[in-house]
Amino acid sequence: MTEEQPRVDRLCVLVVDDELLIRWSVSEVLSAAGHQVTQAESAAAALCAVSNGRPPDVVVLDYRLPDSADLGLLRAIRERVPGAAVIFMTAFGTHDVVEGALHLGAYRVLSKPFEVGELPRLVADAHASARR
Amino acid sequence: MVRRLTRGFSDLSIARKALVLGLVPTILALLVFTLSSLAAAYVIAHRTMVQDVNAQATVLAETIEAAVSSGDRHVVDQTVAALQGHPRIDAVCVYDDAGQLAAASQTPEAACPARQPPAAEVSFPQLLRPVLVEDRPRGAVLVTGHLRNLYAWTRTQGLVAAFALAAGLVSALWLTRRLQASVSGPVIALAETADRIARSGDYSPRADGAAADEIGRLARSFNTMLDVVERSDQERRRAEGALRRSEARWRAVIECATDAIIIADRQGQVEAFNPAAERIFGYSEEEVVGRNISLLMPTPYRDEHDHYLAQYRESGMARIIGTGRDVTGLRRDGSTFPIRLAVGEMSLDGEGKFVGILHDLTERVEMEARLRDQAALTKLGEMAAVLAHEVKNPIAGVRGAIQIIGARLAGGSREAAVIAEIISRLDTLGDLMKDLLLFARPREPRIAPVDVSSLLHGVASLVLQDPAYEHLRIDIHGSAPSIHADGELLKIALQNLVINSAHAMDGRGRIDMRLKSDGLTCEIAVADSGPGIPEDVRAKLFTPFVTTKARGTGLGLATAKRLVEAHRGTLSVDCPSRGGTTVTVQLPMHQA
Repeated sequence: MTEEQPRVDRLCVLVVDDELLIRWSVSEVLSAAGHQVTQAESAAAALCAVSNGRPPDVVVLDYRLPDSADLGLLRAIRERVPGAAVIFMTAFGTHDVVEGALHLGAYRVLSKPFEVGELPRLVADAHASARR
Repeated sequence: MVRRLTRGFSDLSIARKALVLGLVPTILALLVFTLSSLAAAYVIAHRTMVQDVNAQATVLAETIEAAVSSGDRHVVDQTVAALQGHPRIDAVCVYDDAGQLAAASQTPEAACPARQPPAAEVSFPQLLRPVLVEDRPRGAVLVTGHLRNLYAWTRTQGLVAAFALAAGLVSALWLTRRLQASVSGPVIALAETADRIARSGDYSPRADGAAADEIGRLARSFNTMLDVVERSDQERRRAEGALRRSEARWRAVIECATDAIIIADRQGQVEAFNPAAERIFGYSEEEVVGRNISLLMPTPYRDEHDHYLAQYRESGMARIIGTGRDVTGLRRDGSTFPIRLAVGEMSLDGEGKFVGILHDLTERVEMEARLRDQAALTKLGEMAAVLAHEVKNPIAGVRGAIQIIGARLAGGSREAAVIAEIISRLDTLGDLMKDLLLFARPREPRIAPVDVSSLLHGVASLVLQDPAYEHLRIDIHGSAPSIHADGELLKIALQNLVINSAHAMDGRGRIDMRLKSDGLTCEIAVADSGPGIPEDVRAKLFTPFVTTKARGTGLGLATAKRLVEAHRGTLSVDCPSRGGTTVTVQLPMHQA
């Protein structure tokens, strides 16, 4: 599923979700696509990750985290790393959340559950649009 | 006879009475006077004439006595001749002592018999006087007088009397006419005034009361009475007008009331039934008036009501009068419905009546039910949102992880097939969550112009893409202008309806979608030729999670209804007797 991906830039991707299986499956699929994946299981960890070291090119961000239940984390990430494209995930899926996320500059909002195999291309597209 | 005359007289008009009363005594008096004067004059004239004849006869006898005693026959003849042409003596006959006719006046010769008639046979106008010479009878004188002059005089007198009588009659008639003009005329005018008033009902005409006599006084009294009557008539009219206005006002209140107003007597017989009552109960006023009010109650209240009324009549103890309470009503079609009932009691012409005011609580109860449903849905929505997140999040994780693990297995292996089945189950679970969220917490419609016809075509082609429906045919009829709606939500709703129909027909058959519009409302009917909906399911058709399908969430129709109602539209389900099911959606063309 991932082995035949065309050659892409090696991107730095931050996956933020408190659900271990999501973090794992996203990391697996993106690593297989050749990206360097960092994981964060909370808002605090995510902020720490974007502040230290190499800023991520793409952030795959869950809406609801143990220490974050609004769009505040998305806004903070957009402020700290404006160059990073954000793919937003939510199981909550209300219209307000989707609109709000897109308004704050999220590249795409994914409604959970989603097809994990589509992520590598989505990450590449998001990065490409952020660079333009 | 006298009585008949009296009655006949009292039937006469006043003028005729006056005529009778005036004429009869006058004529009688004239007659009596004339006849008595005639009689008196006749008697006097008769007596005078008889005396005159007597005197002539005496003078004649004495003259003849003298002539006889002197023996001068010539004197006798002269005397007799001198009497010829006497106004009152026709003939003089002189007889000698032997009774032989001695001398006679010449005319008429025949008036003298040849022999002296005996004294006993002589009577007026004949007079027989003896001729005495020295107290010895020497003959006799027969004088024949006449009263012809008296008769002529009497005729003249009679003519005069008749003329006087006629003059009296004429003047009596004239007087009567005058009397009639001054009495009957005003009386008839009075009567005509009264007639005119009686005919027209207009009390303004007045009789002529100018005359100072009794008739004038009668006319003035009549006018005074008319004044009083006219005033009281005006007052009555005013009172009637006020009553009519008041009646119209109350009638309007009763007819316009949205609550049923029913009047019944103490036995419970209905006497009045207003339009709202007709509408609420489904009976016309004619059908209910005269029947027992328990007609409008379901059992067991119906059977208890008469007993209850009787109890109230005996004891005066009321459980409902003056207070309101919630009861159950029975419509004509047999359905029952909740009512707020207030009963008042009144007395009309000394008879007790009950006035019932009934407020139909159906709408309120339905609204309460709707509000309860709404509240329940809101709660469900909140719960579903939490549940959906809590379930979808792990599903996402499990799905992603198992997919990656499955990808590492050898293709075509048994495990790979199990993994695919697990993913399919997870997707079903995810869809259920999505459906639940959509039903429990649909988003606000985003209103934009929607071309319903192309929307229907879109729905049809989307459904027909599914290979499970390859034996399905969807026909779209009619057209409608664009409406203002949320196309995405409508699409979900219509898709649910079409999929329901497809399921009902086991994926084979024909679905007809009919579209029409009347300018205000757009109607979409989705009709299938399936088996219809079982009776027991119809009542809970819109209850979430109720389904007849082996696999299905039971949210499709309920969600469609919610989405349509979010557009302020209606959704109704009909199972025609010819079979199949028709779901009709009515949407306003414009959202306010």
